[in-house]
Amino acid sequence: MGQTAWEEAFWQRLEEAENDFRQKNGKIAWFCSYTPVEIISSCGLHPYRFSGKEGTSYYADSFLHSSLCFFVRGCLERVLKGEEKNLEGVVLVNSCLAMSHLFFALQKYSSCSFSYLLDLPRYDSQPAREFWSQVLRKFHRALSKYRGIESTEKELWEQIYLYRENRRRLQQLYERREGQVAADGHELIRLVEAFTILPPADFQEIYEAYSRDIFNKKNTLNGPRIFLTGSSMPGGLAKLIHESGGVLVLDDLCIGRRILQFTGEPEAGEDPYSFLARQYLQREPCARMKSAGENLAKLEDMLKKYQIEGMIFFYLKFCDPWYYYGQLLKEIVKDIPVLILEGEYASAGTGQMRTRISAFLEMIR
Amino acid sequence: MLDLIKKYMAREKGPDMLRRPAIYSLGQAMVRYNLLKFPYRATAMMVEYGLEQTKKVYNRRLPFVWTSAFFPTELLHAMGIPAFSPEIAAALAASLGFQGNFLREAESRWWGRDNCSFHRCAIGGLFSHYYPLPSAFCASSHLCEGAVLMFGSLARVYHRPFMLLDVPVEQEDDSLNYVIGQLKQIISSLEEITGITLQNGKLQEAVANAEGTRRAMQEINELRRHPYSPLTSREAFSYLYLNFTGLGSRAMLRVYETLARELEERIREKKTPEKPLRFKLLWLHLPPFYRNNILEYLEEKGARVVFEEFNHVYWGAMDVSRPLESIAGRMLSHFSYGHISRRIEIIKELAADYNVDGVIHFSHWGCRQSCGSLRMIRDSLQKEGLPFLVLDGDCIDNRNYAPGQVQTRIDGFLEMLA
Ligand code: SF4
Ligand code: SF4
Repeated sequence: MGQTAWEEAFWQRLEEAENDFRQKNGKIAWFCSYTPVEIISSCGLHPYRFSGKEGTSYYADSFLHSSLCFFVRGCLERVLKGEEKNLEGVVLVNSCLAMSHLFFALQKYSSCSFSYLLDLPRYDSQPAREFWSQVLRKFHRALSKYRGIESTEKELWEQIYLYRENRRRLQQLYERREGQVAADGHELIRLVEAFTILPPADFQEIYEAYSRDIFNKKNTLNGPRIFLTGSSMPGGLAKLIHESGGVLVLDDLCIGRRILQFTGEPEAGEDPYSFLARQYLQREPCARMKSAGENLAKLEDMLKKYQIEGMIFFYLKFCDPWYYYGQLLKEIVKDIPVLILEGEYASAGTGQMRTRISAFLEMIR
Repeated sequence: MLDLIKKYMAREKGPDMLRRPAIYSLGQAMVRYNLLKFPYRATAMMVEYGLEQTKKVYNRRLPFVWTSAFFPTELLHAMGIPAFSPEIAAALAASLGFQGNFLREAESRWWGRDNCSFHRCAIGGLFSHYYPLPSAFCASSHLCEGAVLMFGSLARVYHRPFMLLDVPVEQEDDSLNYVIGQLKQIISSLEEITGITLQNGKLQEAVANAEGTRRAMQEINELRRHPYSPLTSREAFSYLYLNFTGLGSRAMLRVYETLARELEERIREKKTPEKPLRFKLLWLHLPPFYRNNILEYLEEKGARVVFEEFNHVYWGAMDVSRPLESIAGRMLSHFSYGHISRRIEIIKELAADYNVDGVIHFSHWGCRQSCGSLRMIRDSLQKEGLPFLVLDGDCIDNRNYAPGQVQTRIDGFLEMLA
């Protein structure tokens, strides 16, 4: 299970690229995977996924109520402590109540010069797509105005294609995992994370190095076949499954397989906002969407198709959308064992997690 | 009599009564023959109506739906579909003292204690078959996210349709059209599920009722500004059942019109027991519904809650000739939805209108909506020089209720006001 020198060098290089990116000016942080990064990019800014500070959020807790999830409090903590350099703006989605409250707090208490809250529908329907496309159009207008530029639809199309290419590349890695797998899921998730941070061209380089030097040289992995789903997770959880002897075959994560489901072609005459709206809403739903429950039937089929032997579900304490989803999983998924992990946004929690994950893998082995 | 009922309900088999429609007929007769005492005729009317609706639900002969707190009930009244509000049922269970049975039932099935107990109670109530299983679950997405998630989950577990009205945050034309489209869709789904067709003119009638109710509520709110207004906060909160399930019904209109007349009369006759009032207060969010004396303790100390944000009439006039637009407009105009500044502005407005000396927020554990941005509310009120007290607690689950602690906090607050 150890890494080769090649692999070690690769992951180190990836981390360095991310650290270099963090020094850049003009960064716009986003927090929910429904954020249309293409629009931010088309305005000459650098969108990247913000992750909260792990551990106790002493400072943020006086601004956000202690019954809000640890992710949003961790995010506010990092911003208020000034740990994020050159942060020009924040773009949030009203994905859940916690996110909305985080937006109000960031707008009021951070020094970001741009802040925006996107109104995301809870459905995928034609009227919802039309509504969402109008929201996206207004957002593009607001961001262009803020930048004092005239960002065009043509520029937006360019970014849409750039990001789509990278999503397609990553999707290739997720293909053909029904049988034996060579790359563990934690590596794929780590690459998706890099995709959410690095500018498209930088990511492409990283991806190529991975697929050329590492992916094709891997041997088959052995161990219980695991499916991972749930809310935002503390860093390292996916890797922990691998280290404990499981094989992470597939995930159902926002910053994982789901964010890649954007590969369609525009229809004749379709404007970029309608295309974006359609692509973002057509993907498999997360827990806050209306069809999350209905989608469970598909999930069960997927578990069979990928010969999953155990499901690990993680949710952050105080996260309502994923909490309810987890309850539903327990009621509905009866054919395979499900390990439910509740946790904080803290890698310190992994000590206890390690024991529970090991015991779970042991049980299904 | 009410105490007797409470005593009976607290017994283990007590809640069994709830499932029998006959009990509601009995209750109705008791109200009609004045065997139960109410402070207002309007309250008696509301109770009789509530019993009638609940009887229909437990009769199980007709289709009925579960509705979340802010779902547009005008649609249901227009179609004659009874609504069951699990949040109100939870409040009722708490006031009769048997919420513990339902909470424990939910918890025994691993529903934890970090989410809203209104919902946990409802889940336990349904799992233990005390709450009736509806033909469909109807929720709206504004304000309360927990209800959306709970209704969605229960609909999936019990294989019932889940209807969600997705309400956008911004009050713009696009949002209005989006909501109107969904309302039409919900009506046709309801028709399909229940086999009941929306008759011509019925929606207009429901909106006319809602508009009349809005005016009566405004009148009541205006009367409550009078120094002789006798309506206590506890009494005002007792009308929550109607606010959650009644808008669009003729009954709610009649209850509120009656209440307005009764209040006016009592103020005119100055029937109010005049206690010297030291402080006037504004109440944010809901109070606990189990036996507690918070509001009474305040009164004892010469402080009175003169208004509650829940009773604020936030929506504008409804146009009967454009019923769907009016309902959609009402959905979009909730002050507690959207940017927190909307809620803060209304709190400040209400504080000024009712000339209050201080504001109390009852922070119900698990309600992310009302508690999330408390700090901002505090900061804004502080700027206005308005003292603000946050009482942490739970509206339904009384296991952590410590009257002594609450009283100490209130004492400290009142001292500060003095
Ligand atoms: S973890 Fe849950 S509550 Fe927190 S931001 Fe994500 S979806 Fe919202
Ligand atoms: S108290 Fe809050 S979470 Fe609970 S039902 Fe009401 S709005 Fe929803």
